[in-house]
Amino acid sequence: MTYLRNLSIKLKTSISISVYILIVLVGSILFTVNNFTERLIQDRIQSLEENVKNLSESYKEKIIVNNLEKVDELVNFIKSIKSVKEVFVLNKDGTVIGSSDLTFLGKNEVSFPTKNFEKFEYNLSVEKEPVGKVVVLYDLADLKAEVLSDIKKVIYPLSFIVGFIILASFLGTFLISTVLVNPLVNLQKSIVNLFVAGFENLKKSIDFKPATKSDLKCVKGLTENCWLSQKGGVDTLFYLGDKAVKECSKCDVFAKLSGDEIEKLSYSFYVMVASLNDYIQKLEEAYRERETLSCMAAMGEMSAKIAHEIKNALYSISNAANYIKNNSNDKIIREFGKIIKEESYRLNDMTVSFLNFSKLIEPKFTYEDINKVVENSVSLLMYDCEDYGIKMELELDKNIPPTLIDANLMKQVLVNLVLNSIEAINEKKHQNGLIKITTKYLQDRKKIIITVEDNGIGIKEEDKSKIFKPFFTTKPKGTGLGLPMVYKIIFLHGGTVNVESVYGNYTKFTIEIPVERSGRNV
Amino acid sequence: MLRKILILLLTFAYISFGQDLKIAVLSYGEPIKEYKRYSAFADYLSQKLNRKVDLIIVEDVDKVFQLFKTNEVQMAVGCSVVYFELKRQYNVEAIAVMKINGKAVENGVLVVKKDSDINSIQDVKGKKITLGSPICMSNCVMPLYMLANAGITQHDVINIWSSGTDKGAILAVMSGIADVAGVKEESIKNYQQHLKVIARSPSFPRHIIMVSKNLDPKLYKQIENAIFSIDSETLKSMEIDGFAKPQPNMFEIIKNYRKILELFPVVR
Repeated sequence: MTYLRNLSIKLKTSISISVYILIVLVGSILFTVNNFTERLIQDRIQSLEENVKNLSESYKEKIIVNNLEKVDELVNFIKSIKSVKEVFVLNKDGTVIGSSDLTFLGKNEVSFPTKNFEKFEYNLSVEKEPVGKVVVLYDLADLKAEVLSDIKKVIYPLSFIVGFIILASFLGTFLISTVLVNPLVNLQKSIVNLFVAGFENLKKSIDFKPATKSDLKCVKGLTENCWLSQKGGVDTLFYLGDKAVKECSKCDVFAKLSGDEIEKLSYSFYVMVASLNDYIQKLEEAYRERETLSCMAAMGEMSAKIAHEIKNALYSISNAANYIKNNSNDKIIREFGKIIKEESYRLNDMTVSFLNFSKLIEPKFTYEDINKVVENSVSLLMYDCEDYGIKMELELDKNIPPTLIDANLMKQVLVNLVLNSIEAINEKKHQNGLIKITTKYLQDRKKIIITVEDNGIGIKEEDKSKIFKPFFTTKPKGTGLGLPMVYKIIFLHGGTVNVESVYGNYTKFTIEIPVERSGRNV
Repeated sequence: MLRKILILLLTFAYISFGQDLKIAVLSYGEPIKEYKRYSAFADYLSQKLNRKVDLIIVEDVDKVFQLFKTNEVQMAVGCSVVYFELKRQYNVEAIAVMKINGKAVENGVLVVKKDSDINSIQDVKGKKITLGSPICMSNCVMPLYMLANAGITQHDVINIWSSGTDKGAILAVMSGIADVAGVKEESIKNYQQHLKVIARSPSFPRHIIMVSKNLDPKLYKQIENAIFSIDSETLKSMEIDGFAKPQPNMFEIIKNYRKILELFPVVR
């Protein structure tokens, strides 16, 4: 069984079909032989009887006139029929006048040997008057053997034909199986290549020729022509990635070009590989992100402990500095006491901010009107803006549906961004400072876009990649935790934060959060 | 001129090839076999005599007589009785006697069933007799000759008839249709276990080659020479051993055959 199991599909199919044909043909032959043997025997018996009747009729006159030489001729004729053992010709008196065994001449019918033989009698008459009788004894076993011998004569050449049919069917099936199985073999090679080449280079596992020479337009609008008809179809397929899985499987052009079921399977596999490539890339991205977050978490945890200790120490230092400042008569010492106290407070503020940042945030999601959250956040800083002569503009989309968010956290995000904008405008010393906040609902994507834009100093190009990293700051008294906190909160909402800035001109933060998925699967 | 040359050529051809010869062969029941046998003989003679020799197979003895009467045939093959009649009526002479199994003569026999109570020719009285032929020497004249010599005539038997052939006569005896059969001795060879011989006739010539004495004596002599110089291949085809010169004493027994037949008028 194991040996059969290990045979190739080509051999299995060829052998199975050959054996099937053999069984069908041999079965048919045996069935025919079995059914026709009896019929043939009956036909032979009938034929024998007809011959005896005809011969007897043609010699009737000779029997009537006792022409014994002719009667003997009749006997010899009948005797020459295969399987006839004895022949007796009787005259009208019942006396044997012709016999294949001369010892019976002159005797009567009673003396005939009937042992193991079949008997056929034919009565001769003239105008219903009996004139004689012909009695034939024949061996049924001989007759059967004769029929079987004739059947064998047919079966032997038939066996050669059956053999030839089986050989032809074996070769034919082997050929057809080879054609059918080849795409599967190629697919299997592709799968092996997939593991050999590794997931880093999935393209190597795909090798196919363009399905047709004519270019066929991609009806889904993903590419110009269907990747199956392109020379560099693999690159196009990998460019499409996951889209190919979603769109190509329903595409008529793809169905038309991808051939039969097995070829479709191969192409589906290629699509799956391209999709896998897409997912691997996303997974790698997520993995890098997770690593960063893990690192950040570890650092944060450790830093929080240190910060906590520093805070305690700072409390003692600031108290001591205060005492020195109030009780010392030396002006310089009082001045230093003041500096120590102020710096201790500053360090304390930083430490508190850091501790807040490193805390594990557990959002409490509720359906909120995001526009109201924006307005509340802005109202907190409205006076600051007025103090610095900064104009605040709101452009809110009235069609935004209730969104699942943590309103306090989202408020913190907006406050952080607006504070950054105020500082950026102040740094630029802009006379017409403007902060513009917009909200927009992308109905088709079920997402909400919030932008916070200012015409402040902007971000230097080399700093753009660092602004979301903790403790990075360009401000003299900054903690470097504001934007990382923004990033952290938006991440918890399942959204993204992007920044667009031209140093000396403007900065624009764009937040994108999902309406339905907000706060879930984070 | 051309016509004269043509006439000369035809004349020369006629002289060269001579008159056609025809041989009548009296059939004894196997015409195809007999045709094959005597065709070889006719071909041989044609070659030797440098003339066409045709063969006519005849079933009825009267037809043979008729052919000689109308000069349609010049030669014949038949039994002693036929020869005797042809000699008497149409000036035919026996030129050779065929030898079979080394013998130029044969015998007729009277046979009965092996288990028959007929043991001698005297027991035939009051019985049914069948003959192999209605006229031939071996299976008609000789059986009747033996009966006549035993003092038995037609009146002494229940019935006497011809079965047409020796085989028919033998089977009639074996079937009980007849009690006695008069046949050629050689015919009982295959039935010896079923039959017993109760009388055997004197010897007489076998098949005789007869030639009309009306033929050119030179041609007659040529025929005789050809027959006695026949090659072994032709003899093999004719299924005979050779030929013997007919001797006058061979035919002594036939002289009175007509008287014998008169004792059995039903046979004629």
